[in-house]
Amino acid sequence: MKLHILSIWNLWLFCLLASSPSQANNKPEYAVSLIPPALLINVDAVVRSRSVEFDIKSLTEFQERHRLVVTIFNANSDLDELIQHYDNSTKLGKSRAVIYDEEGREIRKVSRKEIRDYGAVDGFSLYSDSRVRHLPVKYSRYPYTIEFEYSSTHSKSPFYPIWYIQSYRTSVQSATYKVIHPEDFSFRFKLENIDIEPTTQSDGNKKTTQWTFENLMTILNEQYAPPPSEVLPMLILAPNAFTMGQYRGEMDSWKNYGLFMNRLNGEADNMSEAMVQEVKALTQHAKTDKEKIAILYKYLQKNMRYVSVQLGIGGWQAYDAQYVEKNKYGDCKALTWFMKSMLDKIGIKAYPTLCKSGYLNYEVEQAFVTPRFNHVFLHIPAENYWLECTSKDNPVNYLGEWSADRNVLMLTEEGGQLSRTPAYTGRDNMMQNKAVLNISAEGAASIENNILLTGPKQEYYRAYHTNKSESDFRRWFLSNQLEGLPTVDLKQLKVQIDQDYPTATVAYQLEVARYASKAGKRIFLPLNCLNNFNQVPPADNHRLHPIVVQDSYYEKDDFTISLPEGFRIESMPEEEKVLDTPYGSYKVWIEKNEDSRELKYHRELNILPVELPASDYQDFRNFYKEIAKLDKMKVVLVKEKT
Amino acid sequence: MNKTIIHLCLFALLFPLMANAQKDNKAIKWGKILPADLEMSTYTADTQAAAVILTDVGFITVNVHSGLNYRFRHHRRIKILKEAGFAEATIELPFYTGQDPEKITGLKAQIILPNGEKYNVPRKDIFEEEVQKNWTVKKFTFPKLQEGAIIEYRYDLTSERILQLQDWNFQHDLPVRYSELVVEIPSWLEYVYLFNGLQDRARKKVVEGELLVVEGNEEDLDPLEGDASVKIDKNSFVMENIPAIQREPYMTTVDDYRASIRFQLSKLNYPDGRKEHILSSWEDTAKELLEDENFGQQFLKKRNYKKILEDVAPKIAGINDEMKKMEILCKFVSSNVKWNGKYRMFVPKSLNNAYEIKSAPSGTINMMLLALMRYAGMKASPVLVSTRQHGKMIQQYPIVDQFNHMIVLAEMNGKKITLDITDPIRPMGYPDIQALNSYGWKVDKETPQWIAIEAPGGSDMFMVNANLDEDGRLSGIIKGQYNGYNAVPERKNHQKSPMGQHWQGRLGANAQIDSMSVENLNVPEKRLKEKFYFELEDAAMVTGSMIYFTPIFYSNFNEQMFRLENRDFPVDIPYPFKEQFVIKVKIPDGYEVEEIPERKRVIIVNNGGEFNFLCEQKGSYIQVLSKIQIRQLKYQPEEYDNIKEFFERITEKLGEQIVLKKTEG
Repeated sequence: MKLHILSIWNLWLFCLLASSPSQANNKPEYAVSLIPPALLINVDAVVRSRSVEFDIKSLTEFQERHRLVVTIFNANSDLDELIQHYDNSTKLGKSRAVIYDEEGREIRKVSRKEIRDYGAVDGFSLYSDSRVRHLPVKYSRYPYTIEFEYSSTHSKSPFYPIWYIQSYRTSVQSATYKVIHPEDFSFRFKLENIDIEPTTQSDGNKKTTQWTFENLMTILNEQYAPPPSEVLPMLILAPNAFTMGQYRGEMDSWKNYGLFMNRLNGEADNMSEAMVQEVKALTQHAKTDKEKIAILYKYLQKNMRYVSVQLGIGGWQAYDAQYVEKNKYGDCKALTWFMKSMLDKIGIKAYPTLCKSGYLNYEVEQAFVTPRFNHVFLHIPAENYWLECTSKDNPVNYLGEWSADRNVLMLTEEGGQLSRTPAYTGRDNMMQNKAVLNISAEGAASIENNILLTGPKQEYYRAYHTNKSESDFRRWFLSNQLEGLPTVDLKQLKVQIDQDYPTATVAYQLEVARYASKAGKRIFLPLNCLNNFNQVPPADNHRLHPIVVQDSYYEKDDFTISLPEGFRIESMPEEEKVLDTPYGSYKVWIEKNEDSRELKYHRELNILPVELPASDYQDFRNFYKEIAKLDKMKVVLVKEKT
Repeated sequence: MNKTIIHLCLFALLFPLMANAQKDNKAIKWGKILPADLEMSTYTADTQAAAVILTDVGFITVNVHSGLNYRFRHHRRIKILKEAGFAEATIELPFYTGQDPEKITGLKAQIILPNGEKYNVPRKDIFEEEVQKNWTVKKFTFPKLQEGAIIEYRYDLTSERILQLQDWNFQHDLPVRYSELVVEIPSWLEYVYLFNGLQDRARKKVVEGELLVVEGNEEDLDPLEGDASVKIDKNSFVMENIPAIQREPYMTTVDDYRASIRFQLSKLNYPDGRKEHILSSWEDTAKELLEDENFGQQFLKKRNYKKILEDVAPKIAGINDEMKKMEILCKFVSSNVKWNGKYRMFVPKSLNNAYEIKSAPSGTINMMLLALMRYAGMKASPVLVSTRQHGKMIQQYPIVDQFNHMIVLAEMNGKKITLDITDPIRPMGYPDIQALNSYGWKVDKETPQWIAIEAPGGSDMFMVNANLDEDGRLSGIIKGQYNGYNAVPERKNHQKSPMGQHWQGRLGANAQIDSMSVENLNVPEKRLKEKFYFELEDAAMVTGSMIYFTPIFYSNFNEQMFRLENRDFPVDIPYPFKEQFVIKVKIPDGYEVEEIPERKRVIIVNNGGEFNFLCEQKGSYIQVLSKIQIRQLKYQPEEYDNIKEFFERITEKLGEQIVLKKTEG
């Protein structure tokens, strides 16, 4: 009923809108028929024309102006919506969108009422001042063309834009990117995955650098391919000098950017005297620095928790030590600087280290300085220790998969310095199953398994163990971790998390009524239902991109399978099978004891990280395919004649 | 209904200023914690719980003195037992900021550590964020959090939106030890109380009505002169030891089962003796809706859909077959106006406007169809529903707000067809699955009524004609036919991957798919047909003189549907379905059948579902017929084992092997 009141209100608004004059404006030049046929192959959208102007007004202010005309062919493209992220340092200009049909006849202008604005929920922050302006067009008759115009003004920000010139399954008819800047204020740029020279122009006062792209054909996305940043053409801009709040900084070198970060966080260490004394007391009996670090890290984990509050410049500046002491919480910056302060008090040198964590989609490089980071942790060079300060349960010196094996920026007294985080490969990312299976004459199995997990493979178990109640953990385990098995009756489940090393053990005992399928006098007994490989990439005879596998891990499985009375083995796979390739190795072997009452199944899998040319794709796929096949091996048992 | 609003306002103006006597609840006092609670390390009623709501007390007071509004005073106390419960210490309080905005005042929050120390959440650490249009949340978390700590917070929410008062949930995703809601309502307003879930566990205490003196406003020329007294009805509802509630697979919304209470204003008793029904009868509600500018008037007044009519009229001119006309209209509307993903029953502006911007919420799209059908002389009526996500409907009271979607009921040659055309890919007569929530209410001037919404079904049928060779390779042709709901995702699959790559995913890495052809891809009324050539390496296991293989190499049911051991709430399957296989496999020359799966029939009691499996040898061929059918849609928790077992038996049977043996000699 409250809707009725609103309805009247809307009706009134509608009358107002309806009375405003609107004139249709046709653009025959947008007709879809004018797109060169080569640009129509394998596309969801075609960028008809794009003009981007980046206007550097001064050290403290810059503006972006965009005009984009794009033809949308189906619902798969996301170019049918405009998403602008902004915060307190950004002012968005007016956004406009006009829709045209296939022939270029104007359908309508998108009204301001259709623009939505909401908090950019990142899923982990208690509060953040980042917001999103969202203009969805979502028209239904394909193909159609949208003309977007939008702009934004940024003040006191070190972040120049990164533009993808092309996205997957999109071709570009023409695009121009222009940087306008004062003669005496330089900037840096980097053009990736495409090679053209910019043109420059000067009117004595302002200088313009311009890139023009024409007729860029579609780029397809493939599995096990390099990340988009290594495939898609992009233009990255960065300042040499910038301001943030009342701070001024340089970005001409990593060293200088590091010095700026140090200045920004210069006041983070205001630890109270009581806290200093506590730190000293906690570590006074410890003999080595390693021990001391472990004590303080555990103290941090036990007493502080991760709560993220990202506000204005505070989004980049750490809350100080007293804030953490008082609230017993902080975000990654606050907790990292707090940990650093604790270590400082006992004379251990530690450096906050900036990182782009998550899926590794680009590498921070020495030569081109631009701060594309989203996380910070602590590095202790003397011990080569890495401390993830937001985790309540990581063992000391374990960063986790999301920060592993990448270039990071360490903030030393002398400024920024690139460093590299450890990779978790082979036995540092391992799963070991040791199981005993008892098979009944009905094909039921009673299974006892002891799993040992290390590194990234134990992270889920550790996280669920810490963050979920026992019953939720059980539910998660039943629904997600026993996929190879039919319905089970889980009798026992026990997880143990090692406090000092990134390892976890899982022990379970369960009954499976329908483990092996039966047919008349035979039982078809799968040898491996506990750890099946199923990551086979799709068949592709026209592979375009190189093959990239970032994951690397090791698996070892040993199953003792006791067979039911009254059955004999009718058929069994070969006793040993070995695959040895540049992509990894696989070995499976089966031992049969004397009276054939028991089988021992062994499996060893080693997946290697690779970067190989596209021409290897067939072989690469065959290796993965063969593993999947061998993992499905069965033994056929047949009832003995009595 | 707008008339009512005006009355309410007037009514409120009459009685400004009145002291409000408000007492704290006895069940909870700020900062007064029982030592036993502070020491508690596990909650006995649910020993696995990571946190428990110790006390949750709400106090709703409807005011008639300082403007007509209500205040919801809320005080909650939570014990954090384990680290896994730390997330419970982050609190979000949403409030409405649109017209007649709500206010949250007097927010206090504190943490009590196991050693008894108390710390406040300072005002500056309470954040306010506009999460979406018209909705803001206050957000905060507690400092110094540790296992064993107790947190508590309280606030007053003031709202003028008195048609519905704040809902009260007794049950949460945490267990609750004590929950109480006290409601004080002057007898000038009457509400209906809508209980849900665990009713039998609620204790209701009726507290004697109190008299309150309300001062009349002398300047007003109203029948009421001088002071008036009004009886305050005070009720309290208590529930104790309420278990945590959690979503389960195959269910509507968890709110359908949550113990809760909602309030709906039903009647105004004016001090001068006049009475006004807010909740009248379904008949009156239908009349009001039909007069509503954003509902009935949209399809009853031609000016509201004139623009659509101009474009569509030529397309139906001269066509006499009603069915044909309906098809044209459905297609026209659904392909011209895109659903914006929102379920709404009211039309935000007008049908003309939605047609111009080519994008509209669910009810608007269906309303266009309704308007056009009626214009074309067909019998069609609006039917209001609440989607499965939105929750079940209450037939007892004419509450319009319980609906969030509108569909069309067409009556043609004595046949009834439900039309919901938000997605042009769905065949006519197949509502959005979300709309399959058992019932709908037909808005009709003379005879409004609840109607059952029958869920039409979906089916797949696969015909396989294949050759098995000595190396265990299976190759041949698969013909698939999809009907009803089952055709919808398959159409989308084919639109996305025209070469049929999705079949690759179904048949696995060893499969090769070729020569995919599809019929009726864009003709939803007809069954979707696909035909392709396939080759499946290693479909069979070959060892020595034996070949073993599973004839059903793909099915929607070769993996478990129900993995969890038990069930708290009914299983609710949205629509009936059927999957059929007819498989013919030629066995390699020189082999004979050694063993073949037995014939099998499994049924769910009361004919709720059945599975038939037949595997036979016919000369050098093996023929398999398999049919899985589900008719019964709802299964009570005590029937969970039946349906779980049913699917387990299917999976088992589908996995059975055929054994072939080389003929001797």
